[in-house]
Amino acid sequence: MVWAEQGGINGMWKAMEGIRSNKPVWTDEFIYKGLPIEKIIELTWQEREKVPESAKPRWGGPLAYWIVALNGCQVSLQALGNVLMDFDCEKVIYPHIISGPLNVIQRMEFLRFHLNRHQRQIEKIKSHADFP
Amino acid sequence: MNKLQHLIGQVSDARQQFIAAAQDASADQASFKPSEDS
Repeated sequence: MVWAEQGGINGMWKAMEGIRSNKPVWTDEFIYKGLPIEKIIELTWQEREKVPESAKPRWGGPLAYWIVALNGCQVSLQALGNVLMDFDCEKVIYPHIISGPLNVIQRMEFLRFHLNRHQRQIEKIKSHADFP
Repeated sequence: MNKLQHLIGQVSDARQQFIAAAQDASADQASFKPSEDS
């Protein structure tokens, strides 16, 4: 979750800098203009989407560390939000590894969607008969 | 509040809900994986 969120923040920041320096990251047609992230997921994800290789967890370590790290994402996200106030968020586009081009609005929606999705997975696992 | 700040607030809320669901897990619980067919 931490890498996913930081990766998304990093991508939005790169897209913003690309526009600022007149070298936009995304120059092709923006095919998802105006669509909410749920619709884009419906169009682009398989029913049981596999985690991309680059997004698989590698470090391991105690849960407490990852909780702290995940909480820390808010600092990066809010800092990005402050800088983005000077930009048209609809036009700051960075591609997602599965779904393709997403603008900042859709990227922010995706962060919320992704957290909700994995929260539901945790709740499902906790309700499993064999859960320790 | 503009749209961007609203969305950032939604991410923050979702993050806290995720953390609330995960943070009390023991080591055994954190590593539990149900079998594919269950």
